[in-house]
Amino acid sequence: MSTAATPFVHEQFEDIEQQRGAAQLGMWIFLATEVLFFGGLFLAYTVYRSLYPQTFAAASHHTEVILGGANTAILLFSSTLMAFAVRAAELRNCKQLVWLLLGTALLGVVFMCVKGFEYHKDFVEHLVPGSHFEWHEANRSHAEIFFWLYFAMTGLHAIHVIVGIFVLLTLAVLARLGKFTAGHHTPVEVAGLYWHFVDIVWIFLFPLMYLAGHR
Amino acid sequence: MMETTTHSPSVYWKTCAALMALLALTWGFGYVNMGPFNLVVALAISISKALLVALFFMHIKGSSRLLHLAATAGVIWLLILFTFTLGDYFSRNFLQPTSNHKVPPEQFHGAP
Repeated sequence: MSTAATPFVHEQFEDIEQQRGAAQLGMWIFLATEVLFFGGLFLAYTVYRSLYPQTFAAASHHTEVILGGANTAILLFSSTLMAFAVRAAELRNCKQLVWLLLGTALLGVVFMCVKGFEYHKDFVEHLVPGSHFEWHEANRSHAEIFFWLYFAMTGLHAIHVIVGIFVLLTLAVLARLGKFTAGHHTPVEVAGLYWHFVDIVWIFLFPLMYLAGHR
Repeated sequence: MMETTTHSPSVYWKTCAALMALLALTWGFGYVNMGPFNLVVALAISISKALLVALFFMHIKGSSRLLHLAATAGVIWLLILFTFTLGDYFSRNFLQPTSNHKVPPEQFHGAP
């Protein structure tokens, strides 16, 4: 498939396929470190939820399940668009690739707007841990732990979404210039892996944060 | 037709539909009281969704053994992290002295 004189191959690689394989492996190894990065917080959540199950269920009722569920659907759909973007890049469909990357980024922005609205609501309701935290049910400090984890985990996830949006917008500009539709689309592929990973993290966050204990 | 490593559009649409259906299922079960099984069901659905994303969107299905290894490595280390930490937390009470056989704290903690 590839010829020796492909302009996109860096000198340390034999051919474009080897270079592509190295990029994919690198991204998967990075994602393994990300699994453990988020894993520490998921572990803390597991320990404290097993210690204070009732308070975690009560605190979870103060989150906005409609907004959280809608955000899950938004991220799942953005992941679908991303998968189509990688396909468009491989099929060298420049116009479609640009629109799919912009669509994926736009859904990321919508997700962040909904999340920002939720954070504002949490702030107004004094659910942010600290001196202004207000809790009128039992076990105030345990509820504070839940909200600490809620903000740490959704916050770390939000940072990843923001980074992803900037990556996608950069790729959209480069795609517009035809950088990925001339036989080299690895950047779109590995950015896609990252975006799907961020989606997977939210897939676990949604039931743990919004549906801890039935409604 | 060009050789592709990505799947056909129908695979992506089916994956998307399955993910949305599983989301609706999680949401629905969130309103049913099943005691401790609420968490079990929610996690089972989340793991299914994560597998769908990894297999079809991230192309684990059809990729090399090397990538399979790299992808599972993160999960295996996560399981080690959980197993040892939770093993510690849940076994702490095992060594608690019983009421009719009191061991002084300093002796309990292995002090000379």
